[in-house]
Amino acid sequence: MKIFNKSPKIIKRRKKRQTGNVNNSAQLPSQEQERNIFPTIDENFGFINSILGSGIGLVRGKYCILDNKVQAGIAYIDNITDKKLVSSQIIEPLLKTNIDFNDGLDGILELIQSRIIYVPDTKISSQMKDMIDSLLNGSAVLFIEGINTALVMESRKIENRPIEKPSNEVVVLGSLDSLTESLDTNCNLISKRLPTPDLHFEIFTVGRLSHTTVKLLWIEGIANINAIKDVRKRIRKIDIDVVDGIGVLSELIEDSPLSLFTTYKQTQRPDVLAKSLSDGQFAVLCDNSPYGFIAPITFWDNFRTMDDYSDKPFGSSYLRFARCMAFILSITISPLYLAFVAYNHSIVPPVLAMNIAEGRSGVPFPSIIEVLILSFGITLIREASLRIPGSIGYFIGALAAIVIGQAAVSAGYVSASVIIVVAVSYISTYAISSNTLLSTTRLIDYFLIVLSGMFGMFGIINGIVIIAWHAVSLESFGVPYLYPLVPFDSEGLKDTLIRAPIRVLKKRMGLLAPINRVRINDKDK
Amino acid sequence: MDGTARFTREQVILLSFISIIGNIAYIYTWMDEDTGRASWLASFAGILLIIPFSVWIFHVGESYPEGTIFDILETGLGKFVNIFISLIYIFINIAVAVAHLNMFTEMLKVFFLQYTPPWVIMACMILMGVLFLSGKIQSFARLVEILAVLGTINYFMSFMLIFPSNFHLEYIIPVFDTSLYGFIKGVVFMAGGASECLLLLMVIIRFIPDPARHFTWIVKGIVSSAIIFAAAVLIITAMMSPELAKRIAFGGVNAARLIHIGEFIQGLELFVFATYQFIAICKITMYMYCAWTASKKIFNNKKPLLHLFITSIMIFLPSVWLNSYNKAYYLAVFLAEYIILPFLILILLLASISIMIKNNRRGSVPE
Repeated sequence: MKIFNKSPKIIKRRKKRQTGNVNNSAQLPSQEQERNIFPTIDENFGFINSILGSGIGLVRGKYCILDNKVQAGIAYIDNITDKKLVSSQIIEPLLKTNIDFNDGLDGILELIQSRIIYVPDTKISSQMKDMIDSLLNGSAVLFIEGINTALVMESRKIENRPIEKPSNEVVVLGSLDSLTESLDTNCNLISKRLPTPDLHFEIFTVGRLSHTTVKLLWIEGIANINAIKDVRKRIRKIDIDVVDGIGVLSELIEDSPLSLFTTYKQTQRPDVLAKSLSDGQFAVLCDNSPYGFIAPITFWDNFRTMDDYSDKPFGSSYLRFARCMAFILSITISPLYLAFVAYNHSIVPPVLAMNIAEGRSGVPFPSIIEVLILSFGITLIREASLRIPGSIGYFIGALAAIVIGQAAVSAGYVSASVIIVVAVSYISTYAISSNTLLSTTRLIDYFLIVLSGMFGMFGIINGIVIIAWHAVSLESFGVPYLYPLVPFDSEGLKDTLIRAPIRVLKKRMGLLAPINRVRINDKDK
Repeated sequence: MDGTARFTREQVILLSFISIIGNIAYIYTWMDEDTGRASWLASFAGILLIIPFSVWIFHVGESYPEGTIFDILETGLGKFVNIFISLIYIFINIAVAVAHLNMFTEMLKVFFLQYTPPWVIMACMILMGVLFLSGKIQSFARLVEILAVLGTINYFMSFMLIFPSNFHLEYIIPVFDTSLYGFIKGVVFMAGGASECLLLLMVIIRFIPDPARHFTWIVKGIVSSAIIFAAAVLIITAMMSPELAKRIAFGGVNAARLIHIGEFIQGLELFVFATYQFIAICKITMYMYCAWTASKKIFNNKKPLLHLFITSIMIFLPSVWLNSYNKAYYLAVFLAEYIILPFLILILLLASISIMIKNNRRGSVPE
């Protein structure tokens, strides 16, 4: 029987024809209308209106200024422009000022810019596209009758929420401010902590529709210049319509988007950003996103908190070690339980084995199904309690965990020991300080549960080896993910599983800051 | 794809460390009859005996940077000699892998997975090797770094728990209850077994920066391996008595079964077994890598993934066919006693001759 009656060439040609009809161009109609500014105000107003439409709230006004010698037109978009600023700093000075000028219209915009209006951030342009973009960003535009250039004046209305406590990265002894949706505020919070000219802010605009401002931050002389070149290249390569937030940007610039592990860190804490920058890492901030992106990172960064550097070294080391153990516990306790119950009984003491067996009597499912159902059930409870608004979420969480759990044991659907094991696994997951590692932990847990159900301890060990291999294969902007453990760097280990005293942490990690490793100078010598 | 890879000092030390502890983890009992209570000392001395050969490889490798021993053979002795030697090398690697895989699978079957068909376990182990080799060799070296350290800690942690109570000095003293001839026989046997390390060194020499200068790396790896392995044999003997230790297979796991602390801590053989599994994963991948590298060289690095697939099949099928601990044990003993070390010495001699021929050719060119 002949299954394929069309030759591959014909199929290829047809596909080509089909894709040929699709408009693959990234250019939008509004962007295609690039042209110079008209010499008359009415023509300019008309053109802008035709591009932006009437629904956007375009405000246009014509005024006779400079002793009625010149006719000017001002346009801005209501709601996103600071109207008070436009009237008090632009229109009022224009109407009130009388300056003798006899040079005709040549140089009038420069004169207005330098001597009349009170707005510092201005620019002159002859391109209509600049006008449209500036209007959409909240600027006001000044046209003069008879000349084909215009003045753009920064007058955006800034509505910021106040700086609040970081809700997702709570610390006990650290600072209590967090990033907001305003890029300028976020940059201020960082430069307040690092007031040095070596701190660089490089600006990019990403997103064909969103025109999102993105800033790359690093400290010259400390950060690895190859990593900076690399991230700069990756940001410039991005060609996307809308940047929804730092998450989208992170996925587009990170090393291994398909990996289970994230090779970057997201934080809402400016102190974490400042500390990372001083360690030789770089940061990326994005407008409208209250999170910052930090890279290159290593796996051990997931267990660091700012509290580690506020507490005494022994206390910090103990807690950091506990967080690492929590990670190991969260991914291994359920699979180990399953292996011990289903395959490798020899390790379970007889008394405990009897208890487990009694608890399981009457349970209709095999252990692997029991563990998988319960693990997934807790994920559902978590999602439900997160999505339900207000305090009802906590109520639903508690209700589901206590009442349903107890009822399920009483009804004989699951055994009590499985509930304990899965609950410990989930509690351990939340003891890890990094939010980006949460779903990774759960997925690794499922992977190991399945392997454990198939092969017992043999499966778990194989799974762990595969995950370890995957982790060692990863790199974050040239830095191996498990560094400084693999490849080994004894200096870096002082701030990895433990936190050595600050006096001992004299050097930065070699691969993060290869050109300037000195953190503490020994002044006694 | 591995052209730019460079191993670090720790990677070379730990790769050599784990490449020594392959089949000798199972077949060291073969020499017990000859060495008696001194088996741990014979293990120590036997492993140390391969140091000169490994340093030899490092010096030979210096003359052909970023090349394997087979590249050296080809430049001096020609393609056909190289193909002939490479084919024997491939078969030895496959044979060693088959023996190891069978012994490990049988251990797993005896203690933990009685109902799982052996071919499933073998397939899992080989697939993992293929997975690791399909990535960068640097990643595999990093993995070995982790597994070697974890495996060692894991092994000795279990035994540390029972150190005073189950450790019988009367089982290991007097140390020399054997003849000198028997002891030397044991040392030579262990050297033959440990020379599996040289199989790997011959191909990874190209990733070691400036090998002649860094020969101490491999010396450190071999010495640490000798200490650790001798300590493991000593613990097993001290826990089980030399008479029992030489009669049973899987000494480490069996010794761990004796551990009972109170009513709650038991069954620690499960964790000791993890170390055996780490060794098996690393070693089978290493054997596969050696055979694969040589076969790629024969075919001028064309279609490397196809070669990897064929190599894995060539390990899998004989392993399933053999399917016996005893046969695998005798195969490993035979290879350790008569084949591996003599063959490797032959390759090293040929490589040295090849370098001399190359130097002579260069010298005869008029300036």
